Amino acid sequence: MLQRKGSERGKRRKKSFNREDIPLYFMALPTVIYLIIFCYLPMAGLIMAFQNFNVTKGIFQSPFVGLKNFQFLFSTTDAWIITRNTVCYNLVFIAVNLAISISLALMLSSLRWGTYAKVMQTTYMMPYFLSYAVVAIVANAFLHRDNGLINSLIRMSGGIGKTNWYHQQSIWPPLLVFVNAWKGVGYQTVLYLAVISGISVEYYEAAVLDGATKLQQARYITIPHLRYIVGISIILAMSSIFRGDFGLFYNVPMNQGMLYPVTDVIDTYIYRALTYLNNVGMSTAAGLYQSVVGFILVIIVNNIVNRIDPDSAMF
Amino acid sequence: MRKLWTNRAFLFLLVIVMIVPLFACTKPTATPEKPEETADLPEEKPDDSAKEDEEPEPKDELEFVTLDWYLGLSPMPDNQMVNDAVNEYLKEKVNANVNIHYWQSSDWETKMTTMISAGQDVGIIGFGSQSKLDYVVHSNLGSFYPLNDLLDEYGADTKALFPEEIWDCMKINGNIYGIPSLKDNCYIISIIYNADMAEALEIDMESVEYKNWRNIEPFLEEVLAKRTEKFPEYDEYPLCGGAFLEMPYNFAIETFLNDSFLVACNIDPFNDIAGYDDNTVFNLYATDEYREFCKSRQRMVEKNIFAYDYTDKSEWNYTGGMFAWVGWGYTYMEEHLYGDAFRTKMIVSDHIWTDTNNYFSAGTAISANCAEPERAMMILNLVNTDPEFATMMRFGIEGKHYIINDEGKMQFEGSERNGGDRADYGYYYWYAAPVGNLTIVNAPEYLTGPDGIMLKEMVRYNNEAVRPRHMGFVFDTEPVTNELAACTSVVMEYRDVLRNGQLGSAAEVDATVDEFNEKLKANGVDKIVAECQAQIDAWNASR
Repeated sequence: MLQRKGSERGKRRKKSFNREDIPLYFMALPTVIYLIIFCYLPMAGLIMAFQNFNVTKGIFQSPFVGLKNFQFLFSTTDAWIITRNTVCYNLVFIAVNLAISISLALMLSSLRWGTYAKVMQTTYMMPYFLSYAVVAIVANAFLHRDNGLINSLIRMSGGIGKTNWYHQQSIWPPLLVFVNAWKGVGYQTVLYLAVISGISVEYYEAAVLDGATKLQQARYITIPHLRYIVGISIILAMSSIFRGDFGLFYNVPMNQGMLYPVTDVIDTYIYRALTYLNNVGMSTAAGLYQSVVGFILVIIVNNIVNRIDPDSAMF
Repeated sequence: MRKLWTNRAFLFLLVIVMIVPLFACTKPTATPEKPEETADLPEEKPDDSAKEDEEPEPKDELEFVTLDWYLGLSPMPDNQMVNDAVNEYLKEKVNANVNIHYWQSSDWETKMTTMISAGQDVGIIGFGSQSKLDYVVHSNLGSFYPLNDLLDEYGADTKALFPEEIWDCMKINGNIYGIPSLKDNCYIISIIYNADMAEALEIDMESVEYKNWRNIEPFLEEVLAKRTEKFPEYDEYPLCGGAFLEMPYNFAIETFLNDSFLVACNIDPFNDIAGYDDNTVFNLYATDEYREFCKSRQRMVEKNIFAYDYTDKSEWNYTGGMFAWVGWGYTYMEEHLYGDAFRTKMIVSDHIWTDTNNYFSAGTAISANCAEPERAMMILNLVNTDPEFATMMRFGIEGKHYIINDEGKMQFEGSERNGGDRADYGYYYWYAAPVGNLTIVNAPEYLTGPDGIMLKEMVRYNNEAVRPRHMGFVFDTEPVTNELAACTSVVMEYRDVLRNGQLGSAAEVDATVDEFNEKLKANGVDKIVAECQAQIDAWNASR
């Protein structure tokens, strides 16, 4: 589907209901039921964003407070900082992860020894399955002031080695980008590798005959074929651009207050501000705000992509 | 056209699917009939003569029920065994069983709030700092069942444990939502010290004028110098364990919020903060005393009186190289608190006080949607008044987890499941504040002292503790929710690094404290203080 041209899609006739498709509908049924139960039914709970929710009164009888629950997100002096951090980190994550995962996919696809390629693919994939709590402990093993590897090496080479890395704001933006890439590129690489493996070998044979180098083959054959999946990945990533990965931004910096100016995102701020208040309405309002903004951005970006390359747009 | 109608039908179905849960969520629940929200309950006492004529409902006529009971205590191997024994006891007493859930604090934070918010019947639940459920917040959220009538009818013995003044403290909008645990219900702060080291360094601890951990800095510097001279091998260890909490280790103040000191009052006669009487609300973080406290902490960390970081350093306590630790709630000190390498003794501060928040720090409540609130209250009445039940909840089964020796005293040695090292015990929950009344528990002598002196002293301190002026006042944070959320975030940003003395140098303390307070001001701390003061003035006027 991803590689059909727009003109071909336009010519495709819509089929009427076909009895032979019934097994396919049944195969899709569990997923549809899952989506309905866990994605659509809970949407009714969004009403809590406009209520002063009371457990005893429940959703239907809790008093309506309008947009009051949304105020706390904008009334803090940190509103700009948390928004900036969230959006900028996500943009950098998208760009960096895209570049690295495509490069890895190209390299893996070029490996002649299949077993080695599979081993490397598995190795890249493994960090994806670690939780950020574990990643935070691993990072702490490097960064701990007294027992961390970095300070230990500094002391071994004659330095003082007492730097508290969890108080050094300057290292954390690149560090978080690195950790996010280390954990996430393996999964995306598999995605792009799947698309690359679907490219017809004839293109590469013809290119070789024309004297194209590996780089030229990648540039003129592989990357254009990845255009569609990259476009969809970016559009989908836009829906989460106002969401910070809580595990990454809370666990890895060990919730150090000194780092908040560079590690605090919308999700961590909400958690910290509402932990004491336990206000379900305010936390729902924050989630709704993030989802609505993400939805608007998906529409806008899809329209932009549609104008540039209609075949890459999602809808 | 056909496709258009198909799409419309699908969209209509989707909207119905999203709206239906709204009606499903209005299923009738066991919503308790709350008394009207008034400031005070009727003054007249219940007619006891009528009650004496009524016979309690025979337990045989009670229908058998099972309830859940959630405790913020880490699981142990024999939880199910003890649960079965508890059920045997409860079946005989009130024809009920309980499923006791032992949850670590991380589970409480993630699961319990979700369960409560979803309206689930969670039966009996602990609240307070150990249970990670704020009493005031959850009472206002409607998470708990109002206990006013239940206490009078099924919990009279429990109600008699505390004076009426304390029950007034537990009222939120006129309703009592929780039973405080009878334990150290006041702030008993102490220095626990290494008695062997004190003797070796010729330090007369009896002459130390200890009020709080701020006023003993010169004394600790003197001890550090002596330790360095006599035991240089101990220089790698800090002199003391951490004493980072502003209150109660360093300031005797009356507080109105759970985890920050944005609003507080002095306590007469201590008056730790100059320039304020005991009826004026202040923001502790903006005071000169707080600034000096931060500088003091920074100095003491730089000198190694306190460590920069105590994470994963618990083995330091057992080396004999440290001199002192902070104690909270100790009324008796066992001779070998940190192993056999050295003896431990204690000096208790003469600043003993309580406040309303203290009674919110540990207790039990009944879930708002509990199907059997009467039975839950009967069970809570038993655990707070029956020594056998209270002991079983903490120490398990006689013979299995402890034995009664020839002198009639409890001991663990010789028991089947708790005879070895503490780390291998099958069931052991000493103190266990979320369970209930501690003073009736039968415990080994090494925990409670000869003749149970620890518990007796605890009761004495409770009775003699200084009560602040606003005992019973609860700060309604609703008018300042946004400011409180913002300021709480700011407090969490700056608090730890300042109270742990983790800045780069003492020179940074002033700048950091200034930045901290500027940010608090920008996020509305003055409005929070003003609102609290207004509520206190109204509360004073109503009394």
